[in-house]
Amino acid sequence: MKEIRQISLMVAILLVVTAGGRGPAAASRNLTLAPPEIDIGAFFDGTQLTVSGEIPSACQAVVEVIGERVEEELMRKARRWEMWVNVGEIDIEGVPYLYYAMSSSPELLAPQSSDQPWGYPALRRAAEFKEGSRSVRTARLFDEFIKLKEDHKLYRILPGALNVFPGQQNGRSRIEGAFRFPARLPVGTCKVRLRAIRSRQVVEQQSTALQIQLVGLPAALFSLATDNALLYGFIALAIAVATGLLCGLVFSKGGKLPKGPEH
Amino acid sequence: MFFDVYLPIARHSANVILLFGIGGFVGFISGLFGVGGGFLMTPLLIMIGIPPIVAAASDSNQIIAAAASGAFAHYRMGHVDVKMGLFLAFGGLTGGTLGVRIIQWLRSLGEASFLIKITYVVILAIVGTYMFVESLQSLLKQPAAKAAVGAADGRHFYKRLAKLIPGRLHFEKSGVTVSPLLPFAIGFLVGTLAAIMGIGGGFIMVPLMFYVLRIPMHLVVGTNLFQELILCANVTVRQAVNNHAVDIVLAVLLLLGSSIGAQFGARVSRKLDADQLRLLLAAVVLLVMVKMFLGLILPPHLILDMKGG
Repeated sequence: MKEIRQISLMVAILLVVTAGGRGPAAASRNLTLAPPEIDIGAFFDGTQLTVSGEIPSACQAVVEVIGERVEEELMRKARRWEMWVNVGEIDIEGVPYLYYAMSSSPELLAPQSSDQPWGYPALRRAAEFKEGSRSVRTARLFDEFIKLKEDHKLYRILPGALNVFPGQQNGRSRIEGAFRFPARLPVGTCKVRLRAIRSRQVVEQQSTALQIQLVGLPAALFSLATDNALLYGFIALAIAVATGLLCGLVFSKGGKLPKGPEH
Repeated sequence: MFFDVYLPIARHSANVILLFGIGGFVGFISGLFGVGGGFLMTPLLIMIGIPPIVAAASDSNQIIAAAASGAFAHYRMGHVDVKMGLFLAFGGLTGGTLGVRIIQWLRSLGEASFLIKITYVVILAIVGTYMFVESLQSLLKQPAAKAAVGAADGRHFYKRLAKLIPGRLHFEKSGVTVSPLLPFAIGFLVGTLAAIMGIGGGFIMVPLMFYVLRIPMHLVVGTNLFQELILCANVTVRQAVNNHAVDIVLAVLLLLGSSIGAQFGARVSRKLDADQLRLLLAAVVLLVMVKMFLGLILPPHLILDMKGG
């Protein structure tokens, strides 16, 4: 009887240890998004995405929303004969179409943090610029690229905007932050990543997917425009002509209209 | 917000009332002067964040409504020469095709953007200045002096030029007898320039119809709208098929405003003297030219831009 109790106690201890214990880099799957996916409907005007989760205590955190990496074609302006004109095409690879980042501490997203795997410095290391088949690499080119993306509200960093609430019941800290996205969101899947950082080292990392999709009328019109372009074109033409003629009929008076002045 | 609508092809949202207002304003200009308004509408749409290629394509779509509305209003007033409009449109369709080829050749040289913008500024300056000076001179002349001048006005030179082109066809509505090659050639020239500059070409067509073809001004307005209707229908379908750039939601909101605006513009155009109309149009053209020129010489906000901008 005594041996059975000892074995049972050992099994119970083993169960508790294996159930509660995790490796230092393993993720607890509590990273949540609100809303869990973004539906772009007829009256979509951008949206707020709230990210919440838990990190080990006494840690700082960085949250990133990373769009798909696509090759983008850009035009470069330069001064020619005292005028600013497009002088060539620059292709950029290796960077996401959409990038938003938020940190609990402002220093984590400071430009000087050049060795960290997050933020603009990480994108700068990954970016490849090409002019034709020739690779080009200038710091100014990347800075101009960031300005362009921020102007279109497709890139944004928010140092210090992530809230950390320590002292949770399980000994961990809760984080929460909100991103305000513009209407110009790319359709597809974005990765949302939460990193817990202590002494500038990543101690824990979690990620989840954010689905962005067209729904309703925008989805139907986009599908028609891409899959049946000729029909779409004629529908656009018919609507325009019909509206124009209808307005003409509505505004015309009955009977003979007065003639205009002679010339 | 309820008044914001998502534009699925432009991938952008915009205020419904703002779009309606932009359409109404440009439609008014269209009905007043008989131009499509593309040289105003496209820059306005780009200013509110619509991608340029979608702005240009959707602009062509909404021009159809304003042109149909305005042409219909002018037709009911007896101010559309359908025969002349068909010759002009045929030339425009042919010229537009050539214009696209020229653009492709310029792009291969790497000088397309610079040459297109310079062409735009130069053409706007020439057309705007000539119209402004000529219509101002005409306005300032005494009525008796105007009557005495009669056929000896600035168009007399073009009348002699037109006589050099072989062939004769009488256009009853306009009351002119010219070679059919002449309206075809004018349509061809404007269509080529319009394809290069990415516009409807109304502000070039209107002065050419008045000065070279000697069509009375109030027939110019309606006839130009009629031929623009045909050209923009062609551009709309081609843009939808080749570039998937026509945003129906954007176009419908713009054309609702522009159809109504064009009706008011057509009515106001009847109350204005032809010289006043030309003077106003010249002023608008020159303002747009100045804006474009400043855009060329002032340092841009961004050195990089998305392709298609």
